[in-house]
Amino acid sequence: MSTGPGLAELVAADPGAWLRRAGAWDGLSRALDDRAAELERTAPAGWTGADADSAARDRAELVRRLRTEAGAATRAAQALGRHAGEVLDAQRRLVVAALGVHPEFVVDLERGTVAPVAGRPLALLRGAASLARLAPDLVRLADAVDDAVADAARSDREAAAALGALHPVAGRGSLSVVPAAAPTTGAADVAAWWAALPADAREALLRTRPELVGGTDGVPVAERDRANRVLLDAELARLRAWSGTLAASGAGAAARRAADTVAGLEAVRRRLDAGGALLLGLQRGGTGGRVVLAVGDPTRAAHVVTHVPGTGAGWAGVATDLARVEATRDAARSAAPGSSVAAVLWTGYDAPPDLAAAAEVGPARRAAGDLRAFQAGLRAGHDGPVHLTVVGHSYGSTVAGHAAAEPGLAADDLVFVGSPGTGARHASELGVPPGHVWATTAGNDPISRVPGADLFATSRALAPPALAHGADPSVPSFGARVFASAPGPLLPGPDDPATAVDESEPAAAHGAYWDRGTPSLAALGRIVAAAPGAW
Amino acid sequence: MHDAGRPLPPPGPGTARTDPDALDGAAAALDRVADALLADAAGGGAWPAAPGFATGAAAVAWEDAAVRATRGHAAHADGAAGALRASAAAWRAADDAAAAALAGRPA
Repeated sequence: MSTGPGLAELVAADPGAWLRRAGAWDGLSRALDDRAAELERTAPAGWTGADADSAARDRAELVRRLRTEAGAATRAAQALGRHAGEVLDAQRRLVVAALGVHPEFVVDLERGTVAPVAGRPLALLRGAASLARLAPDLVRLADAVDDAVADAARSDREAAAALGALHPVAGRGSLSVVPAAAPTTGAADVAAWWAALPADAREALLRTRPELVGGTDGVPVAERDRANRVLLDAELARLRAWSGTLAASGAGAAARRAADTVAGLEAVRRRLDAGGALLLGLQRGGTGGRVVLAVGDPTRAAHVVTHVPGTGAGWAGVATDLARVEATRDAARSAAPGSSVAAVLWTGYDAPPDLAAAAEVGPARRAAGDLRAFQAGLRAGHDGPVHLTVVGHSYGSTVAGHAAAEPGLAADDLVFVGSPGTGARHASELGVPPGHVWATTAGNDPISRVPGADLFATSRALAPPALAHGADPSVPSFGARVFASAPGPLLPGPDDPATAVDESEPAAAHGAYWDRGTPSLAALGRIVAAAPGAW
Repeated sequence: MHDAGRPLPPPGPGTARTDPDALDGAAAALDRVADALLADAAGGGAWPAAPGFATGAAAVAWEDAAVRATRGHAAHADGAAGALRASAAAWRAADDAAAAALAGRPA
């Protein structure tokens, strides 16, 4: 059951489209009334007898049903239109509240964050005056957000209930009823449910509920791919229009974000068009967007690797993450020539949008179940035995670690790359066989300097050196098999005038593990292909 | 032979009377209604995605049911048109048979 819209979903909603649909339903209502009136006008005159009586009763029943459903369509249109109006009003109040925040700060309603304007990154934390100035604004904004989301959720419940009570009754000769609810008991059950559906029901579901078909683990990958391509095209069209609107209105930062997102989805479309790829998931999600894209055939390949990216992952970052996925696959095929390898980019969760959000463990905990379900679907949907590997990068390793915290994760090997911690104190706590937990962290990767024990209570009392999310998996005491990685570019010194002022530079080593020719990429290839090698 | 242009006297109680051309006309009207209902049932295309909103799923379900019901009514109207045509054809066949029998009867 839906828990109602959150802030991101309220912001992303398109009540204008609902209003247009309500208008269409109103049109259906008028049309049904017109058909009923035409039936009454055209009853045959001068016809009497038993057959005439029977025909008149039949006609009267059809007229009655048409009028009944015309009334239901009117009420449904009213319920949907009223809901659209309430959501529009909630969105308006959000915008008004955001505009009321001091101009020194930028409110990102899509992500639910407030940050100093660009170029003044530490202004928020530096001065008590700044905090004092921001605090009342934040309280007002938070209240407005709470009220708007609550009102949208209430309206949503009322509208859904009203529509549920207005279901038309199919007339004689109606089509077969399509079962719209997939089981929620696991990928294997979903696979069985899907296989048992009649072909026309499967096709109808794919056409009318692409988000259900495309996002359900256990549905065959070919059908998921078809459904998600429908969603991809719809999202691209929506975002291109949105990006154009923002650019025209002079909303610079928002327009750039929208353009980046469009570019990311276009990268997905290009990769799909190139062939040999399947789109297994596409959802707006709550932060940067969710996407699950497989290169190769995960149902037949002997080796399947799932790459879980970290902070900032989403639709806008697909090109970078996809390049890493392709590099891993190439490395695995080089390590075991002749073996079939599929590689999956799994951004099937709401990745933290920034480092501050990445300090929280909540996103990893929430993602863990989805990753487990996805891996179970890979195993259940595979044609025969398969070697499965999960590679978590950065915050993605925290996700992978939490997914493996309980026995039963469908993964034969588990790899942590540039990890800020996995939530585990020791490799033996993870639900994969001994000797199949792997880790590496580059010497100059700043992730190894992210404070944990000192700042975040979640990592206190952990024995090995503690990072933001627990023990460092790339130190020997953790118990993982540590493999080498190049040190990567040096960190810039804080007072070194020769250091370029480039905020992305400190992260260079954090993303260099997939660079061609590096020992880390070669090792990843051998792990994914289960190939022997020196570590 | 039947005479479509002949005015019918008012029927008495329990009397069966018909005008096959009127039945055909009514059947054609039902065909038009059935076609129009099928067009009404074409729907509005894919529902705009609304993640997080239960109304999205409820609206899709309502619309699916409305489309199925409207198609069902189109089939109903189509069936009624067929029944009217069958009734008209049966009346004509019976009238022709009676005329032929009477024509062969010795004066």
